[in-house]
Amino acid sequence: MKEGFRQSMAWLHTWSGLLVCWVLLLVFTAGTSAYYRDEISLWMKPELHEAAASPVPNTVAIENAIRMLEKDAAGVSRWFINAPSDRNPAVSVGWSLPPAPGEKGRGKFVRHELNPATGVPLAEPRETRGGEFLYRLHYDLHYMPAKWARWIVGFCAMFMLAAIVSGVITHKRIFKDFFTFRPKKGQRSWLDAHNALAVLALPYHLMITYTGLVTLMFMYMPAGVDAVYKGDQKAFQADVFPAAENKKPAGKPAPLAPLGPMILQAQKHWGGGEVDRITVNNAGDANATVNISRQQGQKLSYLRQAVQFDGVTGAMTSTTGDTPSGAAESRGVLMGLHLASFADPLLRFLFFLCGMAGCAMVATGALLWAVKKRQEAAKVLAKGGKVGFGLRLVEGLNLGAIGGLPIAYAAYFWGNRLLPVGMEKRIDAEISWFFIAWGVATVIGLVRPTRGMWQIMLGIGGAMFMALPLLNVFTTHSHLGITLLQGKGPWPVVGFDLFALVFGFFLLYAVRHLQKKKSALKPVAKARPQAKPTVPTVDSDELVTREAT
Amino acid sequence: MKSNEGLRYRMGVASRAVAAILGGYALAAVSTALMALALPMARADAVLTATLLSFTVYVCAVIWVFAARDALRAWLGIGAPTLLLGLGVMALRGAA
Amino acid sequence: MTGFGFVTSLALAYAGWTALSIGMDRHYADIHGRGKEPDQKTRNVCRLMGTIALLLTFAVSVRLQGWTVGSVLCLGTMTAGALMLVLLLTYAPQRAIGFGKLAGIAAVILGVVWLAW
Repeated sequence: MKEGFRQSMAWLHTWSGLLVCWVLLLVFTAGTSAYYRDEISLWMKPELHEAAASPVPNTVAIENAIRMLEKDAAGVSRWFINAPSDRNPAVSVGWSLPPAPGEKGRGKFVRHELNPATGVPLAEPRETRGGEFLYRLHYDLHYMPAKWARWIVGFCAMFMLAAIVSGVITHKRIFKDFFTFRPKKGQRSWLDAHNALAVLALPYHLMITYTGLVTLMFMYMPAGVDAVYKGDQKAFQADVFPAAENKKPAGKPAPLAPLGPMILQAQKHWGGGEVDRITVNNAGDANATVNISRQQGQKLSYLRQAVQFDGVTGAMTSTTGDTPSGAAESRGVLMGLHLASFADPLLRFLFFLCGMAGCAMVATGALLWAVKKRQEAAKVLAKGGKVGFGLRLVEGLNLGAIGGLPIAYAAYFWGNRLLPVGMEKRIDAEISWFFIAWGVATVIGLVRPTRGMWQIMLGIGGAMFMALPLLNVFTTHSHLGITLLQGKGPWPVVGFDLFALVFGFFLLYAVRHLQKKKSALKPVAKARPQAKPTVPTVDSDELVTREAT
Repeated sequence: MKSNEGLRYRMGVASRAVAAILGGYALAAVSTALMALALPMARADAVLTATLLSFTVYVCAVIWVFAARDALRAWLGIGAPTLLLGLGVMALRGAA
Repeated sequence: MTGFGFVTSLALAYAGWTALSIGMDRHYADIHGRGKEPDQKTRNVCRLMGTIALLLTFAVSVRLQGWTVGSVLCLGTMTAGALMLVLLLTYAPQRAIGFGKLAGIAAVILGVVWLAW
């Protein structure tokens, strides 16, 4: 490698990007959709749409929840209550059932969504993992142990980090080409698009990659913990996450003090803020305790303040998280940036936009490489030679990923509407639609990566997305006719339907663009029959022919 | 002759890949351990800070490996610091 | 009102990027014709105006959401503004100056409304 610094970085950028780009595309698309995972989950549970339209103050919702728990979960040692928030209109309650006789550990965890205004459990929403599936997909993948998935994703994230740094180093004209995009110029256009998407959202790409690694940093880099704590995980956890102590039940019954005053006290201590999560230990016992944590709100760091109370007297006993150290706050901020829970709707949309730019950056990078190699292979092809294995593989994987993933996501949403509500293993069935659709698309892509197939796949993806709002008309009572035109909401559902329309339209527009290019090129080829040896008609060559002439 | 050069090239790439992926990780790990032991702050904070910085060390190591003029330099640039820092870690752990 | 504040910062970012782009050879040529280059005075004026506009974007963002979240908001706003400008420079470069001035005026008006409200 006797090249200059910039050239070696160009080489590094190409390979660190190309080798993992298809996994990164999955991670980026799933992760970007996760910004709206609660809204996606809501869309996927039409049974909750009515509750979403009737909000009440959080204190009322929580009191309703407590009354339901006292009735249906009396005697259980710990209750969880999640207050309604911007993202979930229902108040959710949960508890662990005692383990089955003879079994150790915790029993099954039961969760209910309650109408916040009445405390009545909402009609069992259809079993679906909703947006959570997409969120978990981006770091736990699927059909494999979470540990493997996280190592794979972490490995790819390091490759991405190397690609970003080497990309910046090698981009000589990063300021000169800052606003440059030259369409209809084949390889150059792909490069311009890739550069623009990368540079204009560079702070985001760098942040999201680094903070992604930080989120699982103790798994990826345990060396620090090991060196200092010599493997004593518990001691380290205790130092970093000071949890309030849990008392054992005393065996003496005592009524639980009302939570309302406790909430007010907590809020007074924090100087404002909203309640996020309440944990009640040993309810109804003399040793009952209540832990009330604060919603992150608009704070960057994801670390939560919490106040602990005696469950019987209602007196404040301790607080945690009020003064984190600089290092803890740094980690909190970095994780907070990745999760983006602090973001208000506007900022969240900007994050989403940058995430989409990231997806497009990865896709254009992969396409750019394939187009470039095609062009370089033009001479060989002209003499009747065949495309190399590497290029063939990349073209196939590109089609499978870029053409196939939209179909996969659409299939997941279609499955949510079409699969029978009461069926067994519904969640697994819905998820399998995602992977079956993607698998079929990938196989087809590898077998026939032609321009025609690109049009077909993008067309199917576009049609499936645009048809989602229409599908709603036949399968729910909360389609655009009601939610938007009658103004009843819930608005997240409206947003989802509108996004599906816009995204589907964008894909269909791409198909039309590919069609127009095809017909526009034919006259050019005819006009110069003797100037070039006839190139065998392999569809993706047309971009090449244009560039070469 | 051409196939020989081709092979040499591939070996060089493979060697650098190993240096970057495995060697880089080793360097990052050992510098994390050293920082965690040596930074003048509370134990937990030192560990946090060191671990947060580990990925920066890792990516810099990767850049070095591929920017180095030849494979030998690449390995030296990773191996020597790793060894030195490793000795440092052992010394501090022994003293602790 | 946050809405007005954000649109003000977006208009400022867009106008700022426009000013910076006009001071560049390539985009000056896009607008004024092939081969034309801005003279040093134009370059300096463009860069100065552009930088000021971007700094104001940062100021508005911080005023809206504080130093930490505001910094993040500023970066997102600048990305959005830049993406919009790239599209304009690609498909309608002749309108770049006009739109840039419009954005600047809009920023002033919206900014006044936002601060007064």
